[in-house]
Amino acid sequence: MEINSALNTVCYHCGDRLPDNKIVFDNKKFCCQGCQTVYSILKENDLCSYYHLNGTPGITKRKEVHKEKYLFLNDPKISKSFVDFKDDISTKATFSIPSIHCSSCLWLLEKLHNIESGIRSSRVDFARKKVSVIFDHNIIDLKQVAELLTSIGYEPYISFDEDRNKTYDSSLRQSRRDLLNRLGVAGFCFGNIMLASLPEYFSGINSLAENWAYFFRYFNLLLAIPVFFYSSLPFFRSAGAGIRKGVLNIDIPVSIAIIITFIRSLVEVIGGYGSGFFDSMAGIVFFMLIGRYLREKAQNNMVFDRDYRSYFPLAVNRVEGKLIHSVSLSDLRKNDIIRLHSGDIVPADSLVLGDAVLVNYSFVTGESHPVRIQKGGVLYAGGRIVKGLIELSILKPVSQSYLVSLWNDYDASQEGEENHSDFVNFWGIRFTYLVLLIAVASAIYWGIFDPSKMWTSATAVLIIACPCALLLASTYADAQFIRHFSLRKVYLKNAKVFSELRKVSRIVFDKTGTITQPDKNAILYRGQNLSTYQQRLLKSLALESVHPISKGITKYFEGIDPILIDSFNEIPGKGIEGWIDNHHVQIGSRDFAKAFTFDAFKFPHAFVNIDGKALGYFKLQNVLRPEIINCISRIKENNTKISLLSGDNEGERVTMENLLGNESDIRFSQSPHDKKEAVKAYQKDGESVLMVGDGLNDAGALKSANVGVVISEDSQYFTPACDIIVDSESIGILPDLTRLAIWNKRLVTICFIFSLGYNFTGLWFAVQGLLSPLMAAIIMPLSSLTIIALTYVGAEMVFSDILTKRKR
Amino acid sequence: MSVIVILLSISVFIAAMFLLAFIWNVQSGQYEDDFSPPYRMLFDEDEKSDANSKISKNQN
Repeated sequence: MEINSALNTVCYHCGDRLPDNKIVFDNKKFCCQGCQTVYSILKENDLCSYYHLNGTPGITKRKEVHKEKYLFLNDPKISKSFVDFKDDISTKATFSIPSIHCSSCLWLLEKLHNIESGIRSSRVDFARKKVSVIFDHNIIDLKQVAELLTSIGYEPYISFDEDRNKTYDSSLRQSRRDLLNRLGVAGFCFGNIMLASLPEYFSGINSLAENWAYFFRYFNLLLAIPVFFYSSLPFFRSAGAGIRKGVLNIDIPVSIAIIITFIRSLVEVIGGYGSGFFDSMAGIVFFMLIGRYLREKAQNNMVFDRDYRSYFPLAVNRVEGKLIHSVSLSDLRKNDIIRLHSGDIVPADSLVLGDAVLVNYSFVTGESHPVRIQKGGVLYAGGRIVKGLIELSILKPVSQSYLVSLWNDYDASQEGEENHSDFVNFWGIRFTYLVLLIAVASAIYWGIFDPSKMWTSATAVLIIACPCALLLASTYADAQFIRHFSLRKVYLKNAKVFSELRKVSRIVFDKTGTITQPDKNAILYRGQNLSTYQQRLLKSLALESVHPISKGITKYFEGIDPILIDSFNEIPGKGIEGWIDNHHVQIGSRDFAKAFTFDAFKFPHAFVNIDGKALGYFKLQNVLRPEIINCISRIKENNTKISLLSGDNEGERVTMENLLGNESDIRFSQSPHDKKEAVKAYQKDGESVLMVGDGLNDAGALKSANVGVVISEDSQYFTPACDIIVDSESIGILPDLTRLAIWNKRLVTICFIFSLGYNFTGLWFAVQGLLSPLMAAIIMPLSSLTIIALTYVGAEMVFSDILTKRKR
Repeated sequence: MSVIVILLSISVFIAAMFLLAFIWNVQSGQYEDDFSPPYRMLFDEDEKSDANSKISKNQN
């Protein structure tokens, strides 16, 4: 960053590379008007410490925001879901701001009262990426607060789904608090039980005066009660759920072990012939709860279950006579007339009322080039308006649109409590049977030789050889792995994803936005060499049009001075033409530009004609993500098969074949339905599929795949339902996913074998009926601590390997 | 030796107070955001906002 500012090649605000037409203000350079505007707001209010706390902390402000954008916040029905509290003089509202990412953001968002006097104070919840604003609603309203946030680069994320998000969020918070409470109680009881057990450890039952022994034992019993009836409940519940579903999960043997320990200890203390194992029981519950908490904490607040409702806006502006009202999507009726601006999402299938419209369906169909729809044509829900202000007439209510039918294939019934890898459950059960066998065997043995030891030895075996170690190892290993992944901007939905990752045999890529960078195109020119004057003519013409090819041509001629044109005409579907400096210039289709000397291509190019002579053509090409080449070659090294399913036309086939190899399955013009069917076909062939996508057009396929991975450009703006979210800069980790998941399993296995060592030592004494509470109290926590240490160190070692590989 | 009953009881009582404080902390949401507090500590109060907050405090 220091180098950059020395070279002055990046925007002072957001760090993006400076374009040709950079803006210089106050001796600093900015990439666009938006960034410069935010800077001036901050400077006016003396808030330039924003830039001192972090290098280029700003968020790129290339998107325009129009006046009516937050009109719907005036509707009390809608604003209700943002307002936490309201009285005579102030209102407290909370917005979700996905672009919060550093301490500068924190700083600025808590200084809002310096920018706008109507705001009393604001508080950021960094972990949840939210800001709570307390403002005087007599001075400013909620809509203006949202506009203010957007104007400084922190656009609130508002979606149709807001209600669902709010309840989801608070239930998540409650379950974490719950876990912490149980953990606190278990820790308190564990520590005090061990403290009160010291006399027992050091003097032995015989030398301790009887009364005192009773006192300490009942004391321990009292402390053990909250541990059993409160702190252990998560394990009992999980076991209960497993039994009801008929699934043998590892929480069942763990619960059995806890129950047996508790009962035996109860019997011993009340019966007066022993001190029980309350300390071991409390200890094991304590350590297991820590593991659970760590794992939950490692799992981010990312939302993995979004559906179409998160993608659509909360409300649209409906035209009613001369007035415009903001209306929530569910209130839209057929024949309503709505008004959309460029950048808005089309909320429902509708008819174009005004002039022709340019729509970008890339998110829905995968086609990266915008489509021109004529007056009277149909726009489908999910497209994004590219240019201008348009009016549409609704054809079908939102819930019946084509897009939603894709999403409705989903079943939300996959909500499971289970969060463990399959192999943990498998081995946990096997191990339990083994332990039961040993317990029964020793009971039989002693039943024959010395019946007094029968009960003690059998229960001791069950206590010391608790499969808790396996559960502990997997919980901690999962927590560490998820944490390490998050640090590298790869977010996993839950630990179950590891099981599926291990088996992946084929990786299916989407093209647009995944292999190629979204919104970035390279332009090629082929044909006769153009003189500088000719270049100026072409650029001047292209500047007048907003079509991506025209924009590409303008960019291609960066640095060339345009000439003011005399006339301009755009013929939809054919091209653009105009008179500049007495020359007739045309850019368009082959027929339009009369470029018959050039070959006809299968897909659109922009042919160029000056004064009746065809000179050459421009071709738009996708730009590959820089890391993708290395990524693909490493995937091939792993012998994983590769497929490409793209919604685009065949234009890029050659490039893709060169990139992916001829043996890869490359298909174009795939509809969202085609993609899903392709994934299912692979699975029928016995393959385990990992699908990498980025948008609604992949949603069905992502859900069908064994592992769905979404590449995300900007934190959580929108990611369809998936298992893993990968930030676009971390895409290089894709080839390593399977290998890392395998290491997760290995690490758990290593930990388990270690703990087996402890268990066998204890078992040796347990079968002889010689297991003393002291011994159990030493062995159990020791094995737990070893597991915690091993998983921490092990995960560090596995992941540091990743870094060194990358550097090579 | 019998003093140990009193000792133990008192110490457990104090520890229980700590446990209650912990539960209170958890309920009030203190442990939810662990990124902000370290940074918030280091931010400077500026004179402008001090004046503002004094005025609004007086109004309340």
